[in-house]
Amino acid sequence: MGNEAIARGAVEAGVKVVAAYPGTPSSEIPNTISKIAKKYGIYFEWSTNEKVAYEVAFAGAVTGLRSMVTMKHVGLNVASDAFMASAEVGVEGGYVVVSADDPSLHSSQNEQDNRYYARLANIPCIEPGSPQEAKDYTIKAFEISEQYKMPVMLRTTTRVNHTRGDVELGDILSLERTPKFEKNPRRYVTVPTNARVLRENIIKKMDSFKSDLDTIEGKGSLGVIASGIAYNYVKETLLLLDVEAEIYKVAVTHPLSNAIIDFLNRHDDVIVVEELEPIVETEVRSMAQKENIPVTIYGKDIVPRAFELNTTRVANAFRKYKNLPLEEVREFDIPARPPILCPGCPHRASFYAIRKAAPKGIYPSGIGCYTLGFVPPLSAVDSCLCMGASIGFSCGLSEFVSDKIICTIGDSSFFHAGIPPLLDAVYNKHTFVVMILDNETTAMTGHQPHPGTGITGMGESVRKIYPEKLTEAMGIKTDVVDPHDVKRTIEVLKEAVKSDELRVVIARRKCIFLEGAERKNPYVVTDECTGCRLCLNQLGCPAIEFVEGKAVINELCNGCGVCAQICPSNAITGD
Amino acid sequence: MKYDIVLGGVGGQGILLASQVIAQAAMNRGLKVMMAETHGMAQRGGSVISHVRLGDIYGALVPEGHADLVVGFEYMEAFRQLKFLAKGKKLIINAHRIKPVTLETYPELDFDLGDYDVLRLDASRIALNLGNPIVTNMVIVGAMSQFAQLPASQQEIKDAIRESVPSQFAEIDLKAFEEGVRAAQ
Ligand SMILES: Cc1ncc(C[n+]2csc(CCOP(=O)(O)OP(=O)(O)O)c2C)c(N)n1
Repeated sequence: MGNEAIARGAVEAGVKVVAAYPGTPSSEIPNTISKIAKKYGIYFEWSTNEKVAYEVAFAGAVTGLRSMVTMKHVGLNVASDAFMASAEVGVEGGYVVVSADDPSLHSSQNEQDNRYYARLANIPCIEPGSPQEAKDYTIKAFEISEQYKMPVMLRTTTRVNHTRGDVELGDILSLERTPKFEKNPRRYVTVPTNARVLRENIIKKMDSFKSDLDTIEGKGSLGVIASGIAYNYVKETLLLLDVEAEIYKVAVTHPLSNAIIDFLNRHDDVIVVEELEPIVETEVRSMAQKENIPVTIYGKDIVPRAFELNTTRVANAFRKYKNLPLEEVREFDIPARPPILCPGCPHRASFYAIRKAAPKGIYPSGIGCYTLGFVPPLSAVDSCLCMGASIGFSCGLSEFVSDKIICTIGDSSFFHAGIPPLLDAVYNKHTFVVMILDNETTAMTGHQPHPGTGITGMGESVRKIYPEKLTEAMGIKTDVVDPHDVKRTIEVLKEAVKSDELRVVIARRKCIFLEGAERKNPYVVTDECTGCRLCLNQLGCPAIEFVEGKAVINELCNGCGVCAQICPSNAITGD
Repeated sequence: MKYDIVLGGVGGQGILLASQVIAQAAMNRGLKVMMAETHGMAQRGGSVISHVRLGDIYGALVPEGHADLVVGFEYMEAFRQLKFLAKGKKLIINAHRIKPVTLETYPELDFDLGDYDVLRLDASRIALNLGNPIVTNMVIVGAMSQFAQLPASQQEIKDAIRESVPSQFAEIDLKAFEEGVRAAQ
């Protein structure tokens, strides 16, 4: 898998520090490192959020160790403050910043092209297009970073991260370095007088930047410039349409190589093919303008800008260029099958309770498995902006509307971005109810540990941090409930809503996938079932079906017993 | 040579393992292999898809309308991925139906499949009869190996199963494979 290849590349390059907060499609990189860290003498941590992860790994790089931080595209939004300043400060040991973008939003709240960030910070950006390149370019990124003493972005996309293919391994470099922090206030203390000098330095460094990673192949009067994964689709398109072209494959998308000038000079027509934003295209156009090259450049006028590319889409772009009829994709009208909360998921019971406790309330939420609480019939998620936003949004909302507000946030999200907005709520006297959906893991991204789990990335047991200790220390009355005790959860929530105070209710029950989570035999529906459909219509559990006028529980049931508690006829039983 | 497969199903049906087995068998033969799969949010009981590309290929995604084989691990999901299948090529449909929670009843789906070479089987029932619905995926792999011209022999696929699954499951998985082969004969 591309992500395992990146992890391997880092190991081969002699990485000694890796820090991460999980996020699809990046998570398998740190998941892999976590398993092998001890063996290769790597310090690995799951950090509380991407900004912290960035700073931890940056510290490693400043002390001369090869270091890496990994995150999904939106993670860099969180880390961006540290990211921007670190670009100017620079590093000693190679520092690779893996930004895993998610074109087509397979598992994200937005589509975002982080190559803009590399430009914004003015650091080199390298884009692999296959699992093999993912490994090779990771190693290159470390070398470039060390050569220019600045962070390097390794920008991947979902189809690089999650593509499996064979990868040829190389030797593991053994670097024996003693980490050392050399005091140097002019460099590390970014007061304006120092930072002005750093600013000019980085421009000089980038002006002098050279790399030989880009490649040119093929022959033809048509020129094609392709970056990252788009190169593969171009290769297949040329075969499919039997078109000849010279291909310039961009590996380093910032700064672009001057070799492109010669390439433009050789062709009358050039098509730039890249996924998402016209970043290479814009730069190529400006090169042509500056050098006064008479070339016609095609880009986002024929290649789609939104969502990921594939061979069909790229081939259609080439057909447009050649004025050929487009290939129609045969679409079949099939009802959507959206993801849903698992049978036995504790979040389902929490959302049910929220609806009972404040039927007319507003339910701000955030990102995690729990976002799936928006799906009817639960319909207990009214907003999802980004991690931690449920609390900040409620701070504002509670000032402007008079509705009752119960917002939800996952435990991992709470540690990641929920604490500052909760402090704001106390400080500015906002009143609403925060329900922390504590399933004791970061479920959505594959069950990574966090500060509340008592396990570190190195597999060590440490003291658990309990959210209730934090919220109580802030002076907020906090209740802890088991969401599978439906009656009590509703009562506690009702009382919290009624109190007209800022309240925290922690719904604690393990994700059903965790070791030690309670799983029981499927429940059964007895003859008492009157076919009222209440269980079906209020829980939306995939284990409950309706057959010939009665509820039936199928083999997906994990025996959570929530339906049995809400059945008005006591017609559901289990062990 | 190039052989493109798209597998569609519902999160939790074991599509990934089925894809890996085929890919492993092809890789053992020295073919270039690429696979792209669904991760994250969509895995939670939603539609999932896996692209398996073998031979002379570049990208990991099968272009729409060019697959040699489309396999639906669930009835409706077979049709969802039908857009990938090339005319005249092979379609395998597992009869098993999983109703999306968002729908009241399972929809009637009726498409003209005259353009394709279709195999229908109830792999889930076969697996249940073997005592474990979990091995549905291996029943389907068996059917694939019999019905389609995969660039790997049945023996090579069986070896790949042994390589890919935990040893305590090897026996039942291989049995499931054989039942799938039989169902496709
Ligand atoms: C800034 C940022 N980082 C990472 C992610 C990826 N991500 C989505 S939800 C989530 C955490 C989910 O854990 P939790 O809050 O405990 O909820 P659960 O999935 O367990 O219900 C993560 C890491 C993201 N969307 N945004």
